[in-house]
Amino acid sequence: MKNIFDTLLLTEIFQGLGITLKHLFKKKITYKYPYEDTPIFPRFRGVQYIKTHENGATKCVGCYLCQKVCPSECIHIVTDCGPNGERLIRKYEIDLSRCIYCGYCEEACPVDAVHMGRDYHTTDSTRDNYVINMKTLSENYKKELANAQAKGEQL
Amino acid sequence: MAEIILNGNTYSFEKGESILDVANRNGVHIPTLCYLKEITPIGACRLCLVQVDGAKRLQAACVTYAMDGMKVETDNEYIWTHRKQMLDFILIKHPLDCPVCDKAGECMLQDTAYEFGMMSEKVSSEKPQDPKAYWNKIVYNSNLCVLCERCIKSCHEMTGCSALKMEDRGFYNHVTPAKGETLNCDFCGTCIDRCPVGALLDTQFHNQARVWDLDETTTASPFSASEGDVVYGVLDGKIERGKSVEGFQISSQSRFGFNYIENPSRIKTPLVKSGGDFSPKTWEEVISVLKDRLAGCKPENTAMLMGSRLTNEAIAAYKALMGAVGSKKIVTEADFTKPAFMKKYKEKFGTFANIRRADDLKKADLIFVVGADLRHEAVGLKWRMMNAVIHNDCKLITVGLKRYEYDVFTNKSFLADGGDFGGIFEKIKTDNAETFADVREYIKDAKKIAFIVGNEYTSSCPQPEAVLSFADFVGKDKMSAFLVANDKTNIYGLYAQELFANGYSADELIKDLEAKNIKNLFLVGFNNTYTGETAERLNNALRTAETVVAVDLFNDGTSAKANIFLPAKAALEVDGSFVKIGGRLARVRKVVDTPGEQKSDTEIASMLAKIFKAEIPPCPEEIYNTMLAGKSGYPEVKFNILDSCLVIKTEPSFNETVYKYEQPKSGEKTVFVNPRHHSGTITAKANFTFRDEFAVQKFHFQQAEETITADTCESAAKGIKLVTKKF
Amino acid sequence: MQNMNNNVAEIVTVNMGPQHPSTHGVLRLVVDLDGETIVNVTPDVGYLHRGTEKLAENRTYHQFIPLTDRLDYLSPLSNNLAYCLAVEKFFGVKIPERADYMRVIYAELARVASHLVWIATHALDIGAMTVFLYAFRERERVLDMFECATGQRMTSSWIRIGGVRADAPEEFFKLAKDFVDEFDGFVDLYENLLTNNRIWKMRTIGIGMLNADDAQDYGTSGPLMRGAGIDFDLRRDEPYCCYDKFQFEIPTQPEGDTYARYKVRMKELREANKIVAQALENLPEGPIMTDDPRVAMPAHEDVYERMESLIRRFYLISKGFRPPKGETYQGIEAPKGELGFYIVSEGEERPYRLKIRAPSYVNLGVLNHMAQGHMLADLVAIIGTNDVVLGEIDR
Repeated sequence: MKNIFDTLLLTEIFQGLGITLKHLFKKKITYKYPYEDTPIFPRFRGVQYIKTHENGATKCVGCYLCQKVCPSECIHIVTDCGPNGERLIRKYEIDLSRCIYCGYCEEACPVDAVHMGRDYHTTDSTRDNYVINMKTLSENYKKELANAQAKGEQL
Repeated sequence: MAEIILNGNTYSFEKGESILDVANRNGVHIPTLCYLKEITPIGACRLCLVQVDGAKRLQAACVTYAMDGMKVETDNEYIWTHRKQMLDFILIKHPLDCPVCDKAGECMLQDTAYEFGMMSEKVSSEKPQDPKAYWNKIVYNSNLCVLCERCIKSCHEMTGCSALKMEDRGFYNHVTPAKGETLNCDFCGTCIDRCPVGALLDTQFHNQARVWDLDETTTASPFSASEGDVVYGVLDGKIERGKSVEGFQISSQSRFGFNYIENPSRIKTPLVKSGGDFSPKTWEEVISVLKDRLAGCKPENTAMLMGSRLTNEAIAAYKALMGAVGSKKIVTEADFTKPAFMKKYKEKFGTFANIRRADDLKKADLIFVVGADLRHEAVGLKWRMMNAVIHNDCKLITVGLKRYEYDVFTNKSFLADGGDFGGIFEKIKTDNAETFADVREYIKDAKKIAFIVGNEYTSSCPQPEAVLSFADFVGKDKMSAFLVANDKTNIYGLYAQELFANGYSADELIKDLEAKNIKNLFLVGFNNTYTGETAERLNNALRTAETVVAVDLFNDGTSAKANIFLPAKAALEVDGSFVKIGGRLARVRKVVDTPGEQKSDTEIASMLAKIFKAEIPPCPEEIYNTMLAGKSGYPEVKFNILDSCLVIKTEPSFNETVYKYEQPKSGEKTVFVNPRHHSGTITAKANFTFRDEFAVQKFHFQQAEETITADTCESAAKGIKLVTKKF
Repeated sequence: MQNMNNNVAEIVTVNMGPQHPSTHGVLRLVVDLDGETIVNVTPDVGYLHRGTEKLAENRTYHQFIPLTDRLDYLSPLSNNLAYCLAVEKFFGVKIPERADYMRVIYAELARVASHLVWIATHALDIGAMTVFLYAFRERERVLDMFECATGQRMTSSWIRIGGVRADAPEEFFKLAKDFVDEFDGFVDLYENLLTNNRIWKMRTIGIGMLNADDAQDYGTSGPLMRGAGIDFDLRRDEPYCCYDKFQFEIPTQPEGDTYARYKVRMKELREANKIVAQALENLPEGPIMTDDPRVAMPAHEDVYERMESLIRRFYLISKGFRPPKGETYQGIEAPKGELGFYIVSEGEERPYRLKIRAPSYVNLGVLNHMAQGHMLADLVAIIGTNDVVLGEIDR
């Protein structure tokens, strides 16, 4: 008996339609990207930055650990010996198109230099721009610092 | 049979062995840091602690003699707690320099700390921050030094220079040069190789690259004939550093001088001289030029001057080329280094090769070093000699034109005034003075006596057979090795392939040249850096030939006189083999690619042979397998199993030398010696400076010029002037 | 060949190509059709092959973890867990309790995420688009939780050999608690939309039959097997990673058709939620990385100050730890079935051979059997219920 009632009057169909009707009045959960960015959590792994000391010199000492641990071999470093026997970094390049944003380089760094930032807007029109060097990485640090201060957070 | 019980198992041992020796021999693992097999044990690190039954405290296994019936435990909780504490003490004052230290990746401290499972430190401390000490090519960082004394001991016992010592006590303990402010030793780098941490480092490799990024290739040293094989580390097609094979030693030339292949003056394309200037050409053009100029060349008008930088396969290829031409007029560098002495040598021993191996020096009881400044000529022989002196209780007697740097180790050192080596030998045979009687005692007591003869003797002694007759005096049964020191790379390859004293000598070539008989002359790897009348006459006579084809790396020196210059690959860029002192056949492997269009010597020989309608294979493997294996004493094996352990077979005889001592005429003699760290053009070319906007890099050492006479130096013989050559 | 009307049949071969909205990835199916009825289905895989197993031979054990993320990319933390458990078996490492609980939380949340994708895409293929949007709304919350704890929504590589990389921040626990409390209501929502719906029932009951014997013969695992009536779950029967401390049921259904598997998976969603709730309640305090010196990477702050930690970090990265010679296998109950890693070690810092037993690869083998005699439109439902993800199949 109940079965004919259900079959003829489409009970469960109306039940389902009722659920969708309720959703018409609920708060929307969509973010209208690119007009507003989705919120990111503090631990988000985005484009890297390298910290600098107060005087502007980079914190990176050229220990090659990030190059060694990277699973996709996207970091390339060349160092040289300076006049006082200290280590100079000739070249520090990260190929963002190879990077898988795993965060291993941040984990490996023994001097608190390389970190993963919060920037994920990595679109560009040429492939060459994806290879970023030390200058860009230090500038990323300044940008991240400015963003964090604007939000009142710590880096 | 004396027995010792390790962890419940019984092992036998011989008197004089330590517990660590027995354990290593039988596969029982005891961790060490300051222990080194080649030197006497030190006992400074205390990581090899073991528990000996009956002793209250833990003993260090490396310095405790094994005794019959001893019960030893090597592996329990108590021992490991104490071993970890010892390592903790080392790590407490070790600065956190791993990111910037070159040694990371091959650092024994890192390996040992991981193996021990050190998790955290119990005591923290301020790390020392003393400045680094730069001693020419070696940099010493006393903050990282673990005071294991390996460097001091290995320099003292393995090299004969004894250049380092410990200074101050307690927390201020550090290593300093033994004499003076900076190191003035051979710079062989034995201390760098043996240092377990990054305290002693090579400044040429400082901060260049990480050890784990380098591709390593082992090859025979392209510089000298007496040292072990070299491991070159290559990154991105450029050699970054050289280091010795485990357990052996290399000289400063092999360690620091490999950059000669990158010297900016290296010729990269063939050159043809027209109107006084060299102009570059391609290989096809040069071959057509060669075809024109060598057409119709007759055998009696063609000669070849062969150098000593060539591999055995290159020598065989060029020999075959001259065979294709039909000419026997080959003169090699062997004609210019010690020719008179080597001829007398052959009369005595029936062969030009050395008697027995260089390693036989290690087992000798008495070594005579006759006129050989080993530091400049054959530093590998000096190491083996020191090994015998330290570990085998060997007596050392030098007869030379000056006292050498290892004089503290010699039992007797005689100065041959005026080059009168014969006089010294006569005195040893007959004189009754106590010092000479002692020498006769040594000869009587010794069972294995070895001789090393070098450049000072052959340049200054008027009767070259003096030392050979002295070998008769010592006796055939007691003579265990007779080695002739030579600083050229592959001179023994030239001797082995019968290219010396084979009927055509340098004098005959000079006569032919001056009579304008030679129209075509090949200069293959030949560089006239020799002194003496023959060498000078040759230099002048070279201009007379019409066509001079030079095959070499650089076109200054003798090759400047060529009309056609063919650039060759260096020994670091080809495969092949060298013959070292003592007959060891060392394998040469290709380390890097050439920076240009050079071809290897075997390829050039093959190209030239085509002009004469002959076939020579261009590949060294084929040349060895077809032309060298089984002939002239070369081992009869396939080329690809050569591994630097096989030797050239020789069958020496022992003939009596006819000799009567004659007093030499008085008058000052000039003897030319090599400058420090240099032995020829390739080492000279290795010294250049590389500049770019980041840094300035200096490679190898500069040539130091000095003149030594008895007036200025008290350890030099009278009547002799020692002048350094300039390359 | 004779078809239903006893006429001579003509077999038409149709390509359901790699680019297809319903094949859940780049799966190519070569379908032999007799009219509309399926005679034979041959899957053609390999369009997403990235050489993971070969790459493993050139990476250290630590470096391989991000590559495991990309196998079943819908539940990345499960793959990490399987791999880490396999490597830890070499050493016999003891994992601290808090790390174990965190691992369970992450694995179960990954199961929730994977099943949400399943219900979304399965319903979407059959025609119910609203379920897709609602399920992805919940999945966003799960992914937000992942991002809060690990830093990435997918491909987190957070579970490490010896424990977990770092402790989760306070916000994660708040989000997790909220999610766990509300999730049951959401599952009720999906069930209300689908379970009694006649269209759903007509499209799924009796489709893709797989009885218990066949399921065992073909070697299937996971909900495919439990929907056929076999009561086996690795979490209960071969417990790993402290699953024996939790109370949960293993749902099984005897019918073996698509509807049965649907019910199994919906129940699994609820059970996973229960496990997460229990774990959050009983989470003990303590370290999140083992203190076994052979494998543990030192904590980040220690490296700046302590010599031993610096040395260990250098050694583990530049040389890598070396397991003893031997081989291990560890299988876990991944959302799709039994995911196993078989590792052969020669005593080097890289594995000699690493074989991944991917559940979707084995489950794909049943596709032909399940699709016999059905129509082409049902094939879409069958692929959906098989729940394949190409990342695993092709590796």
